Amino acid sequence: MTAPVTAPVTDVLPDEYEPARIDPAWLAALTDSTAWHAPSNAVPTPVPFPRLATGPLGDTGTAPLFDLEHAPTAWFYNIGHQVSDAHVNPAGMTREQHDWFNVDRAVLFTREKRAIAHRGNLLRLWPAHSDVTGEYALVCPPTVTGPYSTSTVDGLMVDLSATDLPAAVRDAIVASARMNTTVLLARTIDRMYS
Amino acid sequence: MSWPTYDPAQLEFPAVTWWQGKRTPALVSQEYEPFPGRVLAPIPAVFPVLDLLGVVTPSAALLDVTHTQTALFYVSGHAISDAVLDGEVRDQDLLDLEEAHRSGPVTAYDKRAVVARGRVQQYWPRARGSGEFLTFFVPPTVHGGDALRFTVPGDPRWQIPAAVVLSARMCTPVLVGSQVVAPQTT
Repeated sequence: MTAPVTAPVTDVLPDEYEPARIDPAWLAALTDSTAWHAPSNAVPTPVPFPRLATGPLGDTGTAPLFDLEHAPTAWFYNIGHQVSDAHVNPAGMTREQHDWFNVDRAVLFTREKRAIAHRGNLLRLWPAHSDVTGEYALVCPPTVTGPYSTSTVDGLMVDLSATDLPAAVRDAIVASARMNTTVLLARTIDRMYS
Repeated sequence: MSWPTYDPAQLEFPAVTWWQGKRTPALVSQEYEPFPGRVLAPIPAVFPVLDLLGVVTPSAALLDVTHTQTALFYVSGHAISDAVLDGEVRDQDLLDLEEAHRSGPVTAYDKRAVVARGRVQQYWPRARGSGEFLTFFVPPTVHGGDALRFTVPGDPRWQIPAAVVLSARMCTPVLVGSQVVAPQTT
């Protein structure tokens, strides 16, 4: 077995990178009932994911996925990189609502929108609406618009190792700084299979 | 919105290069299959180093991409050891390392992939009965305190594209491991 030919490379950190500043004491005090809003901020307008329609689930009210202004905690839904709007009056899905989706050999995720961070700053934190605990995911919008294609999808929907809220919020803030973008912290509520 | 130096065209997705080509077996088989062409070896390895203190002998740099067998590495908190090319995970070794470092649990991982510059530079198959979950280790920058860790379930073909995106959008190497559970000693 021959070893590959290699060339060493050094990844260059962009000059613009500024590490996130996070107060560890403030972070440690976060609980599932904490709500927080940055005093002032520019509203991020990230490139959208391919949109997942939700049919009758959306009848109770929706907002853009990265919207900062809705008061109640929202849920959203995704199948792969197709992501729905935020549903601002969330409740468990009925069989009829589930059957509306075409979940063919895929997984329909229900996720709770818990926080949004932008370039190393937390913009908004919503309290928990569900008592499900444990799994957090980072949602990072794509940079590329246009037709859905695997070769151009650079959006992220990836599970964090952190399982507690302070660590997950810290990861979201750090990730937003390291990618120089807006990220959404989600808690995974449910997975539904076809 | 991203870094001025970021170019999504640099991403080389497994979905494109493997699923449509001959490399699919490399991701699912139990045999090592070298990637064709030149691969990039990320330097420096900026993870805080976990000293194995002679309990286990490290034999390669953590991000080395030239070895052919699936290597091991050990993790305690934020610190990660160099790679260990031969050997199995032993409960006693983990206990000895925990005792020596007194920094919490020590966990062993199969080294499954090194990703850099928006591309999988090398991939190794599962070994030692490691689990179905993959962990992405993103090293801290020179500023420190900004490492990240992701744990994803399922098939590498579906999950490794996320590590590819992380490497390109964060301008960083990403180490991919799968946790090895040591057999109980009697």
